[in-house]
Amino acid sequence: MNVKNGIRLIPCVFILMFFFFSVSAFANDIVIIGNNDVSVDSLNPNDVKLIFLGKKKSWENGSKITFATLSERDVHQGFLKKFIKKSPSQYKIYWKKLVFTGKGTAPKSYDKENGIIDFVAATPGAVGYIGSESAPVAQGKVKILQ
Amino acid sequence: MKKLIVSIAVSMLYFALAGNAGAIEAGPIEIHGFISQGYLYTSDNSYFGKDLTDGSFEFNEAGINFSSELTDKLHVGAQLFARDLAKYGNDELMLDWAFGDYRLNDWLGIRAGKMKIPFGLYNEYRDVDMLRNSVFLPSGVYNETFRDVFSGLQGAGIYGEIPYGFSYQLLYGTLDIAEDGGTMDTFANSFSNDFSTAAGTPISAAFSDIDVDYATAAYLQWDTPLDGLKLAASMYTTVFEGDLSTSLGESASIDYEQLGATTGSIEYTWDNLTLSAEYSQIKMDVKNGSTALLGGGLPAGTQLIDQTSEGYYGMASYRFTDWFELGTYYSAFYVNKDDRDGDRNASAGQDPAYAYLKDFALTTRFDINDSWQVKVEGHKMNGLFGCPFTADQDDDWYLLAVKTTFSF
Repeated sequence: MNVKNGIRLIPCVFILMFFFFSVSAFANDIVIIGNNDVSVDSLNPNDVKLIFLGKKKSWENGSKITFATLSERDVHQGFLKKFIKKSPSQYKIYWKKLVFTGKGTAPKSYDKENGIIDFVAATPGAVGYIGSESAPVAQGKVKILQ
Repeated sequence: MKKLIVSIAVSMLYFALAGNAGAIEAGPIEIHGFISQGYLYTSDNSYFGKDLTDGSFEFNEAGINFSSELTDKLHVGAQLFARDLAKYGNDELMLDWAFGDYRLNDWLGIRAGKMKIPFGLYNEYRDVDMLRNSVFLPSGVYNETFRDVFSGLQGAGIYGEIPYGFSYQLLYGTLDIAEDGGTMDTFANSFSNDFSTAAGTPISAAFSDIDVDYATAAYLQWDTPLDGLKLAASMYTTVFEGDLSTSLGESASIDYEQLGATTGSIEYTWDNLTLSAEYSQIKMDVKNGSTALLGGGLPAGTQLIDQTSEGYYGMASYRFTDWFELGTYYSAFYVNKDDRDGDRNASAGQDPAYAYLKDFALTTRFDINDSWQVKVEGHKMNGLFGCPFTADQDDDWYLLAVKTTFSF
């Protein structure tokens, strides 16, 4: 097989491997939560995206937005798929790009939903996300924004 | 410096094997770092200023950064960096970036200090291996030879997010250009080759005392309504002069009245697939500023370079699993877009292949864990831009690059 034919095969290999390895993300209902003193009662999906990409840094009243992420795989993957439109590795590299060019600080990450609920409840202006099955735990401690 | 690098490498190896190396926090200061070590081999030619046909481990980068949010709106940080790429860098410690960043609101922030130059989709991250799929970014737009001119700018800038998905950066200031870095070394070799051809005898040339008048960069990105699709346009210009000395004992000030680059970019990500393409031009206007060279054969004011280079690429990468990503790109660079075949080189008795470099790359990335990556990459090259002007270079050649990176 000469080099030209070999090069022509590469797109075919890509397509075959794409179909072989494609894995659909676990679809999970995601709830966006906020500190009780947050000045809004709801967030649209675009605002959620801007916040978690570090592009929207303050609320309308000028107070700082702080946010945290979950390292729990299924909920985190479901959140990224629904709101950020990035895979977990793409989201990680997005923040590493900001850190290693001095343009941002990576968000805090919690292993468990109780951790992120407590963080959001205790931090003025904070937002986070949990799976819908954890919403009853969060009720009363934080606002449900989405 | 080497002891520091070894210490950082041992620490990072520990964290990498532990698999959970996050930032180090020292009170309000966050500390991150990385260290990369690679291996280069070429089948035939010297590249990056050295003969790589026996292989070389002169290929590494190390960086450590410190940052802190002083107030809700004020962020400061700095990154120290050292690199070695064959002839260039030699692990000389440098300040990669260091700036203060005051964010007035979502659409306006102010930065002052030394900042990475926003050019194209990936220039700001070109020195940090774990931030990209491939070992080398496509040389058509991100040529390693010119890296030192495109690296960082000292000055001030503004940035922000504006409605409908747009974001921008504007920078103005100056930069440090190493007299023996890739850019000026390439120009010196080119002048040496031209002078030797004109005079019919070998003449060497070297730059010293590079004085930059100013540098400016502008970047506009549009995150379109189609999820995953972004478009960008960028511009970068610098004006400088350097003293060129020849082996004839002559010296002249060479005026780079314009070294200006523009790029149009598109990137589309869908699930684990990333597609990107960019097109770039670099306009060069260079004159002999002060003194005649070649015994009067090149009077002061002679136009030495007046041309526009052109480069482009198309790239695809797909992450098949958490630990494996495959990528490929085709890239082309032409020294003069009006002479893609190298007719000018041929008429001067040179191999026309010095007028271009075409690069087909296949790259594999293995993420051992969040802190440790390994990449293996092969390039099929056609062309000699960036190779020395010697008779033993082969137009068609291969480059192998292997690299591992630890980070926290």
